[in-house]
Amino acid sequence: MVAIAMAALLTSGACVGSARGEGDYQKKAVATTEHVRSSVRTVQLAIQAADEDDAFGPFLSRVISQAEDDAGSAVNGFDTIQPPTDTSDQLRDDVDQIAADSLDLIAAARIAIRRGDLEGLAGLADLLAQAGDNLEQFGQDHHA
Amino acid sequence: MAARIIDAALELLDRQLIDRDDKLAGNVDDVEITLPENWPANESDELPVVTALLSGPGVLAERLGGRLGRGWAEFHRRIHPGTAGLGAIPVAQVREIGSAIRLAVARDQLPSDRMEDWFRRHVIAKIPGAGHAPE
Amino acid sequence: MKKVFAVTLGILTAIGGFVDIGDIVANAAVGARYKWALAWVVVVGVIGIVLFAEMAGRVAAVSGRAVFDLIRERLGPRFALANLIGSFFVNLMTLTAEIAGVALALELATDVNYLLWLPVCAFAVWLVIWRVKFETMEDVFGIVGLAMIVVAVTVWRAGPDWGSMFHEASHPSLNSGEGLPTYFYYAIALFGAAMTPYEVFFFSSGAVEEHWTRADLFVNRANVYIGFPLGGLLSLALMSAAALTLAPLDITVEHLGQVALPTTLTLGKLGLATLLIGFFAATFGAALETALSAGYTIAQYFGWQWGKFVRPREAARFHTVVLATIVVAAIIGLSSVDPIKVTEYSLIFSAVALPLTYIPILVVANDPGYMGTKVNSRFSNALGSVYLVIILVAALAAIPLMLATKAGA
Repeated sequence: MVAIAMAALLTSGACVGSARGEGDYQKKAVATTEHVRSSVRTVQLAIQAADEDDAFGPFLSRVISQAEDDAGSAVNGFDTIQPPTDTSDQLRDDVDQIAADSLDLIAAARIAIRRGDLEGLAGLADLLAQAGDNLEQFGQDHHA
Repeated sequence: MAARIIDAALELLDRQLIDRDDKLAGNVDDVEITLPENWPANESDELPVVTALLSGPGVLAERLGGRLGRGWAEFHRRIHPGTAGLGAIPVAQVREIGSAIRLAVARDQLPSDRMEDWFRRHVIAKIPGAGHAPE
Repeated sequence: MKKVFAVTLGILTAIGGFVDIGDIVANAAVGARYKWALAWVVVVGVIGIVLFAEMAGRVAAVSGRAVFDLIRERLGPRFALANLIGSFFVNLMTLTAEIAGVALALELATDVNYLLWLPVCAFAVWLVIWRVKFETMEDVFGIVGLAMIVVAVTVWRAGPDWGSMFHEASHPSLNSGEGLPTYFYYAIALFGAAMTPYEVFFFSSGAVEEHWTRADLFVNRANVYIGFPLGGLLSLALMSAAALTLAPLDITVEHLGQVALPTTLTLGKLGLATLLIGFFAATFGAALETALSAGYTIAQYFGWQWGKFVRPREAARFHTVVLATIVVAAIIGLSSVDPIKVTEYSLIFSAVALPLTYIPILVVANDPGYMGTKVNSRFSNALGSVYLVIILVAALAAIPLMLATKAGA
């Protein structure tokens, strides 16, 4: 039992891997954008809380930087997968592009909250909402 | 305690030992049974008699058996050479048999208490506050 | 004083089972993903642990014997050793996660990396076990852990449509794209969280620590009937808060901070501060529970003196085991394994190991040699048999489902 648990703990770290074909690659692309979208929306909620003066700075800073880490590692994980075909290359570029935009916004939010720049933070809310919608649209367009 | 008929496997084995001062003093890891002569061939009324309770890691290891038990027993013999037979508690020291077994002696008089004593002196007593009741 | 707080043992035990670090996150994750479609599992789990802990507490009160003591008497030394190794492993993994969980709660409050807090938290857990009286410990962490009730207030203030909420809970359905194996994987994880073996190790040993006797059977029942349903309520509240606020945005819950967002948005700074205190006390309480359980199980298997009712020097091997377990857990924690993942796995292994703890208690609770006239009622046995089947099915299905679903991915 101990051995199984250890194996489970070890394999869990390596959940990305190779793609078995174009369809599989596409699924992973969508899953990656969903992950990023979850982070984007988490940051949106954090900004809303900051806007309404509902939370403490350290808490919001931590929530935003964790969301940033999650989104970053989802994208990095996706990028390590070998695209199976030439058409997959295009998909890969699209995911990278749309995710990079979101990551930039999340990073801007992290910087703003650490500086206590609430106005700057509030200014990011609409942009993040737009990024979230784009990610959702991407998911719908590429749904297998 | 007066003699009585018991199912040693059910009522003695693996039970908790409690000493004279209500301190927990190990488990019954095995029992020593003395058989009447030629038993069960002779048709007498004599039954096997439990003469001692055995307690301690060496005893438990022997009883566990298997590769783990044998290895453990071997290890135990090496670190405590010449201790065969140690860990026996004569039935005369048993006061009561119930959901636990109460003894008429203090646990520091039992051979199985040596390991507890070692940890007490070498680990726990060195930490400040070991002798204080929790507050 | 004692009378007012007489149910804190049950509350602390339940907090350690239902809302420790892994469950706090898992409940919110399940709520955000399935809304109320898994709420029934919490109800099944609460009934199960009430039944199980009531038996274990009654056996402890009547016979003075805690659970692991009996496991060896009923299963024999070999099976009991296998159970000990499995249970100790689950305990160690959970303790690792809980110590990290206390550190994660502090990280949220201070924005200082949890790995810096972790050694401090491990030391604090040990110090409480070394110096604080059992009753004081359970009163403080049981009561302060109830700060988590702020999540229930969040749900109530959010003003959900109770009717449709109840409908979704009683007619569970899956979103498109959600597979049944994953759904059942989460069901077993939630069930495993409600009925962990370490809860009964802790609860029954706590009963002995408090010197319960036959006269305290009422106290036992009060602890069980108040503590565990409260734990279940907190679990459902976390699920509901996430279902109301996070599910509509498709947020995947992976961190403690996300769990706090619904309360923050609904109740503001005061709500957030209360919740962070609740997180701290609940994870700290769970750390105490698992660290002590590690000592209880090993000491009871070998018959060593255990417990906080004697001076540490009189239970030397017990305190050595507790100290060593905390040190090892802290070292594993510092190697930066993901504490939330660790508890999620340990929940599954709890479910696997559960029958080995449940069956001996069910047998002893029916043995007049231990229980006199206080053996199980016919009703307890009927319910006990139904749960025996549920527990066995969950234990057999747990690992195959974990492998098939890649742990719920």
